[in-house]
Amino acid sequence: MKPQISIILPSYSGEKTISKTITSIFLQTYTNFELLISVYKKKKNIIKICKKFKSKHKKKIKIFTHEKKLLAYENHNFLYNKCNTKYFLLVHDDDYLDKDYIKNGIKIISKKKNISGVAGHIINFGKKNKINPLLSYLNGSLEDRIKNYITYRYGDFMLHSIFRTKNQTI
Amino acid sequence: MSEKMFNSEVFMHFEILLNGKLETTSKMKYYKKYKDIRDLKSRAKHYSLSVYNVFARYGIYISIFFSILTSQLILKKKLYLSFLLLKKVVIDRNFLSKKLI
Repeated sequence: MKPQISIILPSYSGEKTISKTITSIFLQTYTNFELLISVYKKKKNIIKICKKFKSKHKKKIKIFTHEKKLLAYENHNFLYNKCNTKYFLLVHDDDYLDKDYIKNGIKIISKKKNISGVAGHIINFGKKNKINPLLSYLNGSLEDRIKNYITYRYGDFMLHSIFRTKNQTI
Repeated sequence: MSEKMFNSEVFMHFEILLNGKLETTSKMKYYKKYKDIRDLKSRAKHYSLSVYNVFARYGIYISIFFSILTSQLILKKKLYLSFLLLKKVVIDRNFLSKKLI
């Protein structure tokens, strides 16, 4: 069965945290996905960890290694262009997901064909524990939306949500 | 055009801004590690710019301030005069602003 969603995981320096993120991905209640990981060639510890997971889930993980150091946006772009599925989700190497994250997201995005993405709560952990509220004001006029985007410019909310891929956009 | 224009992040943001069709649910929870990107170095790294580029804006103001300070310290005699000049400029500016209003 062809996977419906591809999870993008660009990694750079998440040696300590990447195993937690991958386990959180494989603990998902929705299982029809593929995981695309890109790693810098000299980060051998990260490659080791990824290969361990690949031995367990051979078909679900694809690992791409780079000979050059890629910047964050280059890394995102590279993986984004590798997606062949309907939807995609960006996950960073030091974050983790709730168990029903993908299941609940795909339920909504597959039913409503007018929307381009589904987003949820982003909960910060670490030094400051803070819950970013849901941005319902995104539904206003274009001017309002741009104003709100500039004022609440932290783009995490938009980045980490389930989107349609380029071919599927409205 | 440069590749940065077609950044996936930018694409997502524009997609949402133009279409405005981003659904939200409280059932999805994403746990993100808190990162403070307020200092110059980390901010430059985050936006993939050089530190000098970010620092340049502040650097110009600082250099002007120091040049004025040193000139005033070296030429102590002209200190009072420069102070007067500054005062005059401030007064003039206030006057102009009032006039414009």
